[in-house]
Amino acid sequence: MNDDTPIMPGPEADEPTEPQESPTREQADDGRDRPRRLLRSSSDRVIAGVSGGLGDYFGVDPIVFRIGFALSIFFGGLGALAYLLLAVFVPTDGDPDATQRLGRRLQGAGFWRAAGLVLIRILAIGGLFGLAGGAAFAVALGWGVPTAILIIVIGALLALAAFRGGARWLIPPAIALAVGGGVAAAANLDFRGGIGERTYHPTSLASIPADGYRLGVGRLVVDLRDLNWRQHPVVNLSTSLGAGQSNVFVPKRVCVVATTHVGAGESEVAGELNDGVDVNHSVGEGTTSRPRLVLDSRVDMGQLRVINSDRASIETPGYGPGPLHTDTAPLRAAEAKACGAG
Amino acid sequence: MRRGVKFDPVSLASGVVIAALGVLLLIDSAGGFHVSVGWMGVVLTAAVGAIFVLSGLHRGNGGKGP
Amino acid sequence: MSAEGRGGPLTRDTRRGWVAGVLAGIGDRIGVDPLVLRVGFVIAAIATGGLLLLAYLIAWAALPAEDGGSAFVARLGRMPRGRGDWRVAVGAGLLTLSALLAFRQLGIWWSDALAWPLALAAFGVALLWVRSPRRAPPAAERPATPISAPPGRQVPPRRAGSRLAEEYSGAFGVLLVVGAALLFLSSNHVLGGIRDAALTAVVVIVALGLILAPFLWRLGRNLAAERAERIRSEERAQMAAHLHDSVLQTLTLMQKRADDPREVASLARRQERELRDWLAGDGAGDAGERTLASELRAVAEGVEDDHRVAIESVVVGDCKLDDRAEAVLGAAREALLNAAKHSGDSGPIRVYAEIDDAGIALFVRDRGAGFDPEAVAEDRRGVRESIVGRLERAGGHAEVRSNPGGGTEVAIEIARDGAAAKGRS
Repeated sequence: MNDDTPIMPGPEADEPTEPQESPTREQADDGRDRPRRLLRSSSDRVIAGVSGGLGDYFGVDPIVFRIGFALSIFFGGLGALAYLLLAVFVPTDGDPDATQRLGRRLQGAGFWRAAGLVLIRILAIGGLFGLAGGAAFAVALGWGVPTAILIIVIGALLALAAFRGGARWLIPPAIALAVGGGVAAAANLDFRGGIGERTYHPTSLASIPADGYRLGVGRLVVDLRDLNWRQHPVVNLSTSLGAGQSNVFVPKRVCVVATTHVGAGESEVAGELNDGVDVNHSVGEGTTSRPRLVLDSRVDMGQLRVINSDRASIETPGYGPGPLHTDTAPLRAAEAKACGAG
Repeated sequence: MRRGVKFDPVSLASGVVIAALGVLLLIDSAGGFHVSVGWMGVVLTAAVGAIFVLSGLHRGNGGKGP
Repeated sequence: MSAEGRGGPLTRDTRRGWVAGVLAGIGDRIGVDPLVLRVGFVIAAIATGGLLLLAYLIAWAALPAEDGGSAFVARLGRMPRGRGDWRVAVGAGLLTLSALLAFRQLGIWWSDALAWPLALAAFGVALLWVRSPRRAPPAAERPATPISAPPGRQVPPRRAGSRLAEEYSGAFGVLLVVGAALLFLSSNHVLGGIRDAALTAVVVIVALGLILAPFLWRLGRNLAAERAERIRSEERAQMAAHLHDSVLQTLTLMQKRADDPREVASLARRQERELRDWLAGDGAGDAGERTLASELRAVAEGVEDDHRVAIESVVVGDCKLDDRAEAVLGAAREALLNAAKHSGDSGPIRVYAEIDDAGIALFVRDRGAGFDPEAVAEDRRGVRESIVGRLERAGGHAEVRSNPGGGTEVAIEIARDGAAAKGRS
């Protein structure tokens, strides 16, 4: 409006001047006005204006897209994902709304970088744990010397690299190895002897090996209830387990003289439960004349149980995997069988 | 002969510490004397703690990533 | 040694002390002969099995020396901080742990159930102490933003975001380690034994938490205060930027056009309007809704800017822009245009509008030259048609009253319930 407009009446004088051509819209060949980029509609919106914007862009009634999105929910839901992505990352043609702001923040470099950093840290920590566990296993499986040599070599390399600018990235892996190996060596972890579940039912004294039963990692079950206790009232047994659960079953009337060692875990023998770290426990006296089991058992990490019961098995709750139900009175009664004098 | 690379004392100290740990492990594994869990704990925590303190005090390049 | 205490903060007396001056400093402070304290200390240390020695060491590290040297812990806290901070703290913690374990191995120990929870709690407290002072200096270093600050936005928000990410990932890392350890232990049925020790530790930690509660609460309050201060300074910077962009520019322009009083008045009026709007509540208001009042205001502003006149408008009530309101708007615009063209410098044009459910009444008055309604020129008649005719077509009523030298008044009325408006006479 400038000063030279004649003051003539007329309805067109007071209508706001329509811009001839908006930069965001263009005349398509069919004469209709279509947007140049895909925008979400701010006027035609049921949820986020995605269908409205799509309809505008393609020149199709938005209801088509609405029906399409609705139907896609029943066919796997990919359409819902597409709708979500469109709602977040496609801008509106009006003022930015909440989803557009969210989309802009997600597109910012800071978000993905932070997420990536978190992921890298998780992977790194997992890797370190893996290294430490690997070193521990190696030492427990008897390869302590090679592992030690490896650690010495890494240390020497690191020290030498100091003169060429340092190689600090070596430090965390080397520490992981040293800690894993050191703990395993100090705790005398012994996983030699296989991995898995071993169940032994010796039927005669002769079939019990002289060095006893051993297992590296897993569950070791020795069931002595099929032995002829009347004939041989004294049975000597030694078991050794690296990590896991070790159960010895004896008949109810047999008492137990036992020396047990648990590196870290629980030991339940003759009704006494001891747990913690470095558990050494002796129970019973060997001077009785009753049928008895003389047991020397060790578990480096895990559980050790001697169970006096005629019918229990590892399937019985409380005797199998899982925490010992030591507050159950019948269980304790069944296991309270240390040999006394006489 | 200047190479132009900086000497990194942290790497040197850490390398020595780690090598010492390795020697300890070697002695334990190959017979020698056996280190108990308690003393191993002392040695390990002292070693790792020392390495942390040194690397923290001497801020420099070559640190571990994130 | 005087009988009264020295007063003031507790320090170590390194000159008169035997080991570290802790007892000498305490004696100084409370007015007791340090020798007495030493004897008592030795007896108490034996009685508690050496626990008091630990307290002595802590005091050694925490108390500053009397001659002005700062405490070891405080010096550690003031060390230049960089990426290596947490490493030093963790390393120191581990070294302390190692020392504790060594004592345990050598037999100088209390009991597992007692000592470990205490150690854990002490570590946690040390962590808190190390972290909290770090937050204080940044707030103190940031000076109050002067009003004349250039319109630069503050950069910290981005850095705060990544720092937050670091903290989250660090906490997550810790959680992960703990979770992995627990999982490993539980899967090997090792956890049962640790239960008791863990329970002890939890009880001690809860007790310590209760003790530390006021400290923690104060910490939280300080953080909140710091955040409020930060928000304030951000707002100040925003206001400074806005003022710089708008008001300063306008003032400069006004100085340049000082010889054109109408231009200067128009600039000032425009800036005043804009500043009022901004102060009232930046950008608030429904952008989509077009109402009669807002459109009237827009029309008035447009005429003001284009014709360099002053328009004072009072609008009471509001309504949506239906056909009748559009007619009133159009007529009002014509009336304002006319008043702007023909009122000269005779003072502001006044608009008064009453909008309610019964109807719309709008008056445009100016104190211009006025004209004789009888002797009206050809073009003016057209205007009267555009105003009066428009209203009558919409079912309303309009009148243009004027007399030479007495200004002009345009009265527009329209009813909103369909009934024809009563004419005013």
